[in-house]
Amino acid sequence: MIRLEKVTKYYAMKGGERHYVVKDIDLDIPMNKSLAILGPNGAGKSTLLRMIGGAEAPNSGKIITDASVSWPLGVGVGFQGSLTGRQNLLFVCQINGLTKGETNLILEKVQEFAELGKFFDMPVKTYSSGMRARLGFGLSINFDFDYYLIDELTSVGDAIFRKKAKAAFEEIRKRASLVFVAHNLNTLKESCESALFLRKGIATYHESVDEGIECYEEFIKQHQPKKAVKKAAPLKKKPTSSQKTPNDLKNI
Amino acid sequence: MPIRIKNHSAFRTQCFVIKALFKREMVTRFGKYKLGVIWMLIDPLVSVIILGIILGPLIGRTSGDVPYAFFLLCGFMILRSLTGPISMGIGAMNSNRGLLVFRQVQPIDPFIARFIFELFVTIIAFTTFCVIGAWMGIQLSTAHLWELLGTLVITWLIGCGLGLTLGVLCVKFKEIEKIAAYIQRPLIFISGVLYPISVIPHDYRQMLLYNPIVHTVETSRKALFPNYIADEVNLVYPSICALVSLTLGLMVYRNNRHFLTQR
Repeated sequence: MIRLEKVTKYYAMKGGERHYVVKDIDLDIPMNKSLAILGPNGAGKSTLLRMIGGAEAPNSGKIITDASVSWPLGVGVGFQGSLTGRQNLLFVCQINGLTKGETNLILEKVQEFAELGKFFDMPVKTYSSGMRARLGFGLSINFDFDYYLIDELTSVGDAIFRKKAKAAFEEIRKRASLVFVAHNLNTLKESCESALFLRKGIATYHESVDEGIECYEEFIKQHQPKKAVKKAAPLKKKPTSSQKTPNDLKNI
Repeated sequence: MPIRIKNHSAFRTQCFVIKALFKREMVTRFGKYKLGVIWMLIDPLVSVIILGIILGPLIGRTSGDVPYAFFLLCGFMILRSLTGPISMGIGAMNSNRGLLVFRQVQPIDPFIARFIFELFVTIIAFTTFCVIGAWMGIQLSTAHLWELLGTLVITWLIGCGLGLTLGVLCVKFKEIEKIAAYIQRPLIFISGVLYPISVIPHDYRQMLLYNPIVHTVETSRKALFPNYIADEVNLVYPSICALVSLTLGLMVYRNNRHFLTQR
């Protein structure tokens, strides 16, 4: 169980204003029930995930847990670019106080999963985003966490990695729960049971993921027309192009 | 089988983190050079040799019983234990940003690891030079070694406080980096590294004595060479400066700690 008590997070903007990412949210994330975090861009999904993972502290409120929680797994997160893949892995093992035997085991396993070849001993900044994702994901699945925090991780990488990741997810879901941020709603539907819908600092919890996604889609519909009107206005001068664009989009 | 991470106490975890960051510092500082660790000795030695050749015949006469090379060396090593933590502190956040994502790593840990690393390097270099000096027949007193270590540590603490302050602030204001470089430049002239302060006229000497580094530099010479004359210096004033500087550093850190973890 992860419990959020009156968690508030804001960023100071220029001119001293406060931009609230989340404001006074209370939430329990139960064990063995994967949670999808939904919301438009900039709603604070990643920040919430980072707070749960302990990478950032809330400005007020508490996040309490007795479970082991992974670090937020995302594209290009968690590795220092100037260090090699191996050095980064060693660092993670060292800060967790692993023994030499455990460390070697992890190095071996991750090397096998990530298939980086010679890049394993190259600085991480030379990696492609897919390679970074493979390294991070490979490392995290070799730790036995109760919660895995995943931030758009599966959206990068090729078909082979996605297939591998999917298989690994199935493995993980048997023993742990996921807290998932993704914009691909199908992925969320497949792998999550409950949902948290985040917007303008407010968070609403939904027992079932379908319900949450419905709410989210409703929200998008409400906000769509305004934007469509604004966008359509300059296009009026060229009626032909405005007619074309929707069709073109559909074809794509 | 995936490995379960054991629960360690907060203190133990911090020790793990600082140790890991220390190792990481070793790798990146010395790993990329062929001569590796030797560089930490060559750097100060080159400055001592060059300045010794240029200034030795001029100022060397004023240093009394103390061989001018060692006179300079004391100054350089003490000054280094001040500027080392400052320049390392300024880069600490940027070069460890990626590692802050782990809950175990708090923003202050890279600072601590780097500061300890600097102290470690300075002490090793200083010891090596003293051993070489003694071997070459220079009379070094071993009676006041604790005092010598004290001067080094006090200067280092002043540097840590300033390094932490500037390191945190330069995440907010990029200009700090530039300003710090300008401030550090005249330090070598006003800290009594190149000349004994007993040669300075009384009125100006009183002004120089406001600089805590003058106290530690002169005391360190006195510790190695008991005949060296340095009457007006003490270690109490620099200790107070260290306390003030550390307090300032920790205050600035605490007020901005949320800001540091932001992406």
